[in-house]
Amino acid sequence: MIGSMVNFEDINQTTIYIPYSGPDDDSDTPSDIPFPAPPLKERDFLDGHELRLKAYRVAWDKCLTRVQSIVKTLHAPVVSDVAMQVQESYSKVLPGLPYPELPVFCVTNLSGSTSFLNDVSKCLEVDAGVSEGQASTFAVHLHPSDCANVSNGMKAIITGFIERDSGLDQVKHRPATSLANFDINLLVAWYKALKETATYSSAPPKLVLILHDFEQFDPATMQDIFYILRYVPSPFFPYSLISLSCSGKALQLPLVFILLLSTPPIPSYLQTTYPHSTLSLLRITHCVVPSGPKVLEEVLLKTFFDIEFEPCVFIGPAILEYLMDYFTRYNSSIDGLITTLQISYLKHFTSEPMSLLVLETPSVNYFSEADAFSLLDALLTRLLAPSEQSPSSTDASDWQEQSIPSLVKLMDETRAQFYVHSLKFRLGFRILLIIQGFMTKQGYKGLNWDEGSTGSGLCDVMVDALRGNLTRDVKYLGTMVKKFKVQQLHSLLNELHPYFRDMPTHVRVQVEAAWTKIIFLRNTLPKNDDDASTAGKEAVSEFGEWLIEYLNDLILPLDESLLWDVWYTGNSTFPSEVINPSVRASLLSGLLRPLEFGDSSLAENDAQQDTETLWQLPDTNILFRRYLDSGKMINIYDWLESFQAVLDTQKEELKNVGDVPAKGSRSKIGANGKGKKKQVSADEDDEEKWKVEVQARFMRALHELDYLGFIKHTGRKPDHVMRTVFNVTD
Amino acid sequence: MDDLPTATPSRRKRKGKASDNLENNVVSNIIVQTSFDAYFTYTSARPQTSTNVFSHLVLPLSTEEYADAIENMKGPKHIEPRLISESSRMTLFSRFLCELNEGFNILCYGFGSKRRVLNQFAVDYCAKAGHVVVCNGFQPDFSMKDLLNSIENVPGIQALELSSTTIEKQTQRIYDYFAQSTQKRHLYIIIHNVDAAPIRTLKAKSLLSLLALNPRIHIIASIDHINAPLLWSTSEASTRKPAAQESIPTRGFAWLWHDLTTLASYDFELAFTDKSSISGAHGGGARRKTDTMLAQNATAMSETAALHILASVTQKAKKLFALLGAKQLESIEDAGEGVAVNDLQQFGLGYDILFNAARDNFVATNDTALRSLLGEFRDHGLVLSAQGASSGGEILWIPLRKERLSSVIKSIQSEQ
Repeated sequence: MIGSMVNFEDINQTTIYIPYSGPDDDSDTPSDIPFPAPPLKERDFLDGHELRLKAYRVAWDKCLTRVQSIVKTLHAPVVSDVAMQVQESYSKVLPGLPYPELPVFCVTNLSGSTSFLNDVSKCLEVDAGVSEGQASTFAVHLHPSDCANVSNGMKAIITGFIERDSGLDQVKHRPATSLANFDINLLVAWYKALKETATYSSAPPKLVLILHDFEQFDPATMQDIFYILRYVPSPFFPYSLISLSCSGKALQLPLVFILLLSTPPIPSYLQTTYPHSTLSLLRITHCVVPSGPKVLEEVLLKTFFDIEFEPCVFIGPAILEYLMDYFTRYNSSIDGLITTLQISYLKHFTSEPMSLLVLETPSVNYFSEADAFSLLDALLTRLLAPSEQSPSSTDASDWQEQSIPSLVKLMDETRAQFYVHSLKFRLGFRILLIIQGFMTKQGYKGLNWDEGSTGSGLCDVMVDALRGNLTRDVKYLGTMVKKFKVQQLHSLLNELHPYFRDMPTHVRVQVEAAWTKIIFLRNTLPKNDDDASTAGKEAVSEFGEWLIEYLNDLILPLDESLLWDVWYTGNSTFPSEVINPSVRASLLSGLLRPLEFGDSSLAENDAQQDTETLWQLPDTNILFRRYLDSGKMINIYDWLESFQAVLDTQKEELKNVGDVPAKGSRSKIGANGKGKKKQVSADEDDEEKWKVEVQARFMRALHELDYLGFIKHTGRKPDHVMRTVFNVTD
Repeated sequence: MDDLPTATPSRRKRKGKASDNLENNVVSNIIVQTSFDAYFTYTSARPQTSTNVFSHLVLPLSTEEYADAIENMKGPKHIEPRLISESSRMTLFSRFLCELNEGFNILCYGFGSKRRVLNQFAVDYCAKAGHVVVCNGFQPDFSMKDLLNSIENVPGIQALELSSTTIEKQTQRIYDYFAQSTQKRHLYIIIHNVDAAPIRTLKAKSLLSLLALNPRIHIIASIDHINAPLLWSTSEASTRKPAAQESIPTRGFAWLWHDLTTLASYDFELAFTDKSSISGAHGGGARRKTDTMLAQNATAMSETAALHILASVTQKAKKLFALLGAKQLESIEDAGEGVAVNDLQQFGLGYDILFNAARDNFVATNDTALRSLLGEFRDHGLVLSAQGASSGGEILWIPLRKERLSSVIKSIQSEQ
């Protein structure tokens, strides 16, 4: 209906507004949010997508909150450090400086996380609220586009402060009577007024300028801005030559700069780009936000390998490997990491029909409906299939006894079982880490994990663990433990003991036996080697044996659990083209092999006679083939000729295929003696028309290739163009 | 006619041979040839092209001729990619909308105009979920102001205070409006060709990056240029929308990329390009309309343009034109086949001869009268003149190709 109202074909309209046309209710989100259906329809049922969407939301929220809190904890020390220094920036000024300096904080944030900045600003605000004696801060955010030139930059800074809600009455500025909004004196006047109000009279606020993507700012402009702002010296500065020289500005501004950099701290961008004359105006402090592979490790370890946190869906080794690769090679930002995890979750819930069972089993009523049969059937098959170990344990009678309520119950049990399995897995992994850590502390090489062949250390171990490849490592560690001295075992037990002790109760239930064993051993083990050498040694070796067995029991790959694919992505791969696409390859294959995008049956036919079918392709594709045949420079006229040759073939072929009656009529005219002359002139006309058509089609295709960026007009030779793409066959 | 197809293979063979030699030379040194190697191989070889000059040999097409030819063209059937067939379109669209609602923006790439598909998505899906603004970035006179003004059609935005009318403030107001947690309806912005020149500017990009990360604004954009992905740095492209509890507006795009190869032609996108110029579509086809008009080749006089000029001149002038045209046609006929018909100057008429003919036909009795009649045509480029090489006198000609000229003259004669 709207489609008929909106005219998309109007060539003069640059924008088209389409009003909302959905149901007129007040719900926050549209009621019918489409959630893509999985490709396998067999195991789906009607309300499946709603349940999956619900499950996805819960699962992802849980995971996201966890990741965010981990990142926050990682940032916390730097955040509080920066906030504190900003607050104190004008209280500890070195006495005896020849001129005042602007406090500048260079924050190197390689992970590009925006949450860092939020934390900083929150911290600044909170400080202001908590201790009344301290000055609050006013922050203005500047982006590179705000500071294209000095007057724009100054304007952005000044209006940024003035237009905020500071408790001052908003005054209507009349251009004739007020200062220009890029005049620093305007800011001075505003600040003076602010200081005189009751709220700020005791503690005037600091004016914080936060410059995002500082590398993108024009250095020449920024130099001038620093220079201008420096001429308004600080109120806390003990004496100032400058304030003497410009006595009109007796009042001064406590400005603080926070520069956000995404380049490494050494060599600092600021120091390499700005001249000494500018740097001498600034008092620079460097801060580095944690980033790099360690952050990835920390996030993964605490999200998917932590006994205190249980994600609803576990990430499989294939996705984990992709994540590591993407993080280390392309984009080591926290945002990229979170996006990758979210896409994995989204993929899991949209491609796996049974993922609706992740959180809870739908009620009996759901299953009773007819369209739930296929799901029910699939579930039954999976849950009651004879296991490989004991094929005879189930028989047909079991199947008949199953009712829907019992199936729901069985499903709930399976879920609980999976999570217990995963808990044990995580626990085993953690114990392994503790022992490995202990080994390194003792000065042994241990498992050599930090120097993994790919260089990502612990992440590789996580992948190995998920694949079930850790048996050898466990055995090696166990053997090492067996060779411990009694004293060393004591130390190890002392490390393990607090870990077990501090576990949440529901976890400890699962490891009661091991916990008892550790306590028992810790109490009964001789204090040192001399007391009872054989008894001690036996105990050590027995503990080593037990450890191997115990850890191997714990670290079982998650896909050995029943119905694991509901809660675990297993070996399914990450849809990498969504965040790291090959735009070039896609464009080229669209140009080279358009038929393969069409119906598969058609493509097969054409694959056999690939070279013969150039004329069957659309014009742009033909022209592109000829483009590939040419050298670096292309003569447009020759290009047209070669294009025309293909079109001539095309014309012939098309005539042969469908135009039989037309041929007949033509021969009739030919037989008529009188019509002969007419036909000649008609042919000439046709010829002329055909030439124009070829030329038009050539121009169209040429323009399309130009539009796609394949042509460069150099003007070096008359009517030649240059290729921009070479060697596309690889 | 028949010999043409055979002519091409030989041409191809020659070319193929040249590149074979090239490859043979290279193979000895390079184990696996990469694109870089290919570039240097091509660059190191002397480009061998013929001396044919397109603009000398081919008359540029007028807009009418172009439109007519494209309309009547008989090419192979259009290929409909599987991806956008009716059945898979639904899946694709629901996936798009789901991802948009999950806080991402969508960027479609691949060969072919994505306009129709995205417009359908706008009408069938987005309009049912919120307000929609579709913008044609490929249009030469598109500006960010248009986009912002269009968004302000959303009821309620204009009620918010606007301190100044700069686009920054306008964008900020839109951002603020949709950042309100009470705001129920989301905004979907469809941008055709986000890689077009007007949106590529630093300013436009920065404004768009602010809107793109608003939790209630969603962007679906398309790109066509092969190097378009270079527009965004990795961090820009991957910055996520701020979480609900975060207060600082961030900038970035949160793109998710989707291959949307439609194989459709770019006719609509290239509607404003100059069809007579080989570089008409350069710069993304986004040249200013006025530029296009100025750049129109002066020699490309169309039939309608000629008729318009002729309709406004006196009977005498028309007669003069018919006279000159007839002479020109005659000399073209005399030249016969085999002569390059595109260089019209060679068929021009000497001023003296024209003057004599005009006097004989009672069109102009003296030099001044003839010059004043010609002046009108010269001003509009309907008659061109140059100093003749051999005779030294002035040569006049009409820049219309044979068949166009004859039809113009026919229509003058039918009027009289």
